[in-house]
Amino acid sequence: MSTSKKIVLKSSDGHIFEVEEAVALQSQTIANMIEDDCVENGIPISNINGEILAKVIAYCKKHVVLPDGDTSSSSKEDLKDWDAEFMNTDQSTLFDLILAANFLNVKDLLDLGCQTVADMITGKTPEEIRTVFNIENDFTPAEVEEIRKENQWAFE
Amino acid sequence: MDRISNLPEALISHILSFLTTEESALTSVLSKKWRYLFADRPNLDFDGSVIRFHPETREWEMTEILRVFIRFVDRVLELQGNSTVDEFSLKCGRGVYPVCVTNWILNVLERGVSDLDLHFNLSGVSLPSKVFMSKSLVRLRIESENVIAIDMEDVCLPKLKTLYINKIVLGEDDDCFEKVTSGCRVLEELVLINVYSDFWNRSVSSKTLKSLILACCMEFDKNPDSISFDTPNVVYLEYSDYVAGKYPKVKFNSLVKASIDLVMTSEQHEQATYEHLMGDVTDFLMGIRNVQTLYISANTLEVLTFCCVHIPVFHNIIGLTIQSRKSGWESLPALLKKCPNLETLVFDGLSHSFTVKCMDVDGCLCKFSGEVPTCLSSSPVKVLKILRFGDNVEKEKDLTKHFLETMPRLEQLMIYYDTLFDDDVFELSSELKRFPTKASPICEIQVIFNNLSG
Repeated sequence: MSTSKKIVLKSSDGHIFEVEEAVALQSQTIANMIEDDCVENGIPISNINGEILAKVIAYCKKHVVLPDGDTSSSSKEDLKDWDAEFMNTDQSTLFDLILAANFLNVKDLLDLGCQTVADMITGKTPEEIRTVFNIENDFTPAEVEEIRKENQWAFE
Repeated sequence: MDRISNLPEALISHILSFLTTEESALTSVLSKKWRYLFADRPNLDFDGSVIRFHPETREWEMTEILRVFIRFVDRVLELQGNSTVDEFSLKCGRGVYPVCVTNWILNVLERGVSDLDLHFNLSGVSLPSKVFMSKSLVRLRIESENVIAIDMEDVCLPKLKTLYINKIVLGEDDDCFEKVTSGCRVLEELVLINVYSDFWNRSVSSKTLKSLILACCMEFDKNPDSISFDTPNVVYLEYSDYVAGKYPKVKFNSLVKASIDLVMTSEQHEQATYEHLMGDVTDFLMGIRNVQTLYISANTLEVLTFCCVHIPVFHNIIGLTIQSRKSGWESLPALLKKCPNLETLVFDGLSHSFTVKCMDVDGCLCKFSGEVPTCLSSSPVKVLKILRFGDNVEKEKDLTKHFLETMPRLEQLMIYYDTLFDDDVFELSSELKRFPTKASPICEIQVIFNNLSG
């Protein structure tokens, strides 16, 4: 196996991460920077802290696609279990991961995070959704009634 | 802390796009920020078929419910303005005004929809012909419960890769299949089920097609005059139809897997005798003879007996599944002899009917003639599977034992026993394992419980 290039990433709070190029390439943002050849002195990721960046890197390591096209050694079911365990975390971390995946443009991680949040919304009434996410209702009851009429089909 | 509402709006909308359109609309009342976010999504799905019309539902109630549904679809489309739409799925039942449906379809076509999935139970509607003139469609699926008609003048779908049509009248002419394939230059997957067109001359011609499912309308009990396939790159074929008058072209050079259901009309049935063939499917068989895995329906078995002059050699067949349903097995010995490299033989049901041919050694697979047919004694089959065992246990057991004592290269026998009692499975398994005269002593026997009530 040929020696692969290592990419250096620096989190917002100064942590240094050295990752294999194949792992880093899952971030479309980083891939573009590699192509534009501006990764010589490491890449500063100014809006992601070390804790979250470490997690994103762990995800990318687990989901790396090897140069010969083989996916990582884990089977499809193993990956699914790992992903489920990975997403089994507090809301704060979950949304940090979504924002990080969005910024770094790691599509699979972004979709995984969004699907996880969608699963927390599905099957719930609006009141329940507000409770789960601490959303403050800034509508008057009259306004809510108006919207329920507008989108009546969804509320029946 | 409310982390979710503080996400960028595009991200909130992305999250909501993982829900059905209807479900995501519930979030419109969460807070002012959320009011319109649910409508910003590239994939739309509307299911109006869930309107269940109970016998007690009064006329005005039905109309009101439908009105609410129509209003919802109208509203979401309005909120979306001119944004691009990727997928649009619509399920519509009785009562939704056809003109609304047409407008919705035209709306998304104009906005570049690439995946259109329509499922109808509408009567008397004609879908807009623009459906067949879209430059953006990659996948088009139209299914109907009551037959509806589509005005198909010209077909120009330059990006279409998948076309699925079920229970539709396609235009009025007899060359709709040709129109479809010549208008879809990159078509890879074609499914035509109960398409009421091209009755007498069915012809499918496409260099790009990889998968073809053609299940012709079986309601008319008449043989088509001519069937042609010029599909050299099709890998997977499912074909169900009456025996044709002629098969001028059957080109399937790349065929790997096929499921064939050829049927005789009731008239052919009545008049069929062993001596007087009612038709000839030889040319069709010649065209598919490169296939590797083949499924033969019980109807096809019959056709092979009464409508076939010559079965070609299927050099590449390694897997053969035969559906047997109160059918005679007259054509089986000839068919098996033409599969010299067969490894896996599957019987979907083990129902054997006695015919006069059973008295010939090579007229059937059963024991009746007293001698072992060569198709069994020199059979290359390594794996024998019997599905749906249990319809007539004694007869099926006899046949199974007959196979065990005649097939010399058998390595595995697997029986899927349809029964309510797992004791039956154990009994059958022990009985077969104890059977003393196996032609292949290494043959491993497995009886698997297929719970009927499950």
